[in-house]
Amino acid sequence: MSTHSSSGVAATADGPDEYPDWLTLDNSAKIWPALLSPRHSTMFRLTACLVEPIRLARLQSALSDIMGRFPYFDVELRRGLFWYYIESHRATETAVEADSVNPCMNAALIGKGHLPLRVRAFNTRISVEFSHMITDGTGALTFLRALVTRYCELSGTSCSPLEGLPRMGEVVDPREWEDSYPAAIVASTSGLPRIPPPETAFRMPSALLPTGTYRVISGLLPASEVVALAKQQGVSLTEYVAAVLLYCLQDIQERRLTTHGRWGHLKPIRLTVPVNLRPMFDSRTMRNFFLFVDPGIDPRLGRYTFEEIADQVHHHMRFNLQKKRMRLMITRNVRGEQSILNRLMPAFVKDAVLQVVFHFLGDRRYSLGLSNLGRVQLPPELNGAFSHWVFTPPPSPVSKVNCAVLSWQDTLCVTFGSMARGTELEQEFFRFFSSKGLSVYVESNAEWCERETVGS
Amino acid sequence: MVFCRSCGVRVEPGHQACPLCSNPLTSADEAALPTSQAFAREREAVISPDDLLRRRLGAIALVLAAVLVPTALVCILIDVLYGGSGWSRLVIALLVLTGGLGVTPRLFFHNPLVIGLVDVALIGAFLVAADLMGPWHGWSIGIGLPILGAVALAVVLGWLALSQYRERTGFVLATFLGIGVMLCLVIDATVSAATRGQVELLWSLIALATIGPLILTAVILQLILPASNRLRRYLHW
Repeated sequence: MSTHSSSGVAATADGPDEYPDWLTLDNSAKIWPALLSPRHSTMFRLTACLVEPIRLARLQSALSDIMGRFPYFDVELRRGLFWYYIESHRATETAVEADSVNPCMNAALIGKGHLPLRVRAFNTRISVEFSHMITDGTGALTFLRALVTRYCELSGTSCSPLEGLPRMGEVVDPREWEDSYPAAIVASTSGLPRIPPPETAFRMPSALLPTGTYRVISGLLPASEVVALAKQQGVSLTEYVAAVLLYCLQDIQERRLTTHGRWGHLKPIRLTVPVNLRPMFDSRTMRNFFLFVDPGIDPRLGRYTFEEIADQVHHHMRFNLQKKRMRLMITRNVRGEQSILNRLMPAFVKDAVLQVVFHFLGDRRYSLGLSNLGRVQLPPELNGAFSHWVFTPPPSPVSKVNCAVLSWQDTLCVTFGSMARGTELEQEFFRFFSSKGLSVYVESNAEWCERETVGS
Repeated sequence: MVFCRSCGVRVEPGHQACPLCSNPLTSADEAALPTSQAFAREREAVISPDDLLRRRLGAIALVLAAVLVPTALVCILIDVLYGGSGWSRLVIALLVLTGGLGVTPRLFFHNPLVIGLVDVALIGAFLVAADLMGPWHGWSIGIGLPILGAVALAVVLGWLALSQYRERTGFVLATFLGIGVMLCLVIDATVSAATRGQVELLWSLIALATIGPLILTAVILQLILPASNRLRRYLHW
């Protein structure tokens, strides 16, 4: 059982810089195989919306060209006796697939011939869907940026080099496939402070959509105007969006309480916001390297004004985004993974244990996930090639709704991925911005995703 | 561009209703494009909840078979080796019941009424088999089958109540309480007939006297429920 080398990389005969035949799953990916189900696909999606229709043959060529630059994505997931692992995929070439009305769903991820990555095309859109078992949003965005850059190059646009944008033919840096978590732990012999688990949070009260369906609602907003609103409040864009979500959830919970009379009771409202740890720990990994902060409010203490929520979110984020606090959380997670008991447990037992752990300490502690990947950076020659970019969050049958944000030039795209039948939160959220005088443009698969499955 | 007056947002062409509030959209100002430019409309193979349930039940049935069949074989072997008194047949009947109950009917039938009745029939078959093989001849006809008949009737009534009055809590409650009373009466009558040779209702009359008013209350509540929002809120399920 040599799967726990500190680097997380299996030894190879060809030397340390050669991409190995297999890799262990990184620390945060280890829980996902246990949670896989038709509703919990662990897939998230990034879409580049071009201004012209996609040429499939050209996209396939671009994909073939850049896959060699990303060997850690050309892989299969396999189940070992004790842990799942990543095996280099050499059998078939990754191909562009036709898109589906239900993104991120219906994916077989584990086993021979099943890929944790899908490249899909529809109309003017190139989408990549990644399982969280191999990378996080930042890694996936880097891949899609490289893919569309190559696609545009094949279309005749010459692109100037850009820092942080991998190009075809480059030598792959071994740091790109490292598991960066173990390197960030604290080696304290004096024990570490405990992190108390948060209470169960309020979640959207709605029945689930049929299995296999996933409703996506994207709203396009003028980024500069949203940033101006955030500045006016003295917070960052992510903090502002988080505050709006908390404000909407507070209203929804209060309305629900009114409807249910004394049967209902107030619960804390808490978001889970992933934080990219790469800049903090100087990591270049393309695999998962993030942690969560959980800004929230507790309506049991009284109703919060929007200003109070924004203030609370701002200070919570600033307090938790300290390197030392992140180290503490990473250490807790890595120690859990490396304990003898966990390592000796067979994979199928781990699956059962992790399901129970996730049930009590997972998504039910949070009302919603909010992920912001920031601004898409591409060579300046491609400025006119895209209308906007979309980031679709992974589905969660527990919190039901997740939210993701991505901006391209002056277009901020806020996407809600939902398994709830109701659209109350999305409605409240976009109405908040339209009431502020912002122009909101909405795209959705809402009418078609469940038409044929309702009542099944 | 289509505009939703309720939400104040512009909606992508191709939608008949606003994705946020489901209000119908009118494109009086500009003609909507015929299809969405953002999402493919082709529905990919979606696993229906029924298929998923059947797949899981299939797996459970396989596991049960893997455990029960070897157990049955071992029992037969031991029975034959140590005198062959036939007790293993009783064990096999019990194992068949364990394997079949709940799981197997759901693999073949969709209707909960049919599933419930098949389960009752399986239990009946087991009782008769146990009776024929054991030392207590005749009790399955005298006690077991009348009670099973009442249980089958209870399944039918329960299914009718849930399918017809699912939203009417009072009627459903009254039906289930009524089923409870009926089962008490049947069990009491059957047992007394089998043990004392005549039908005598004893403890079941107490059940009837206790539960009867509750049934009446549930029905009255249901009749006045539509007039009271507060009651509907308290009793919703």
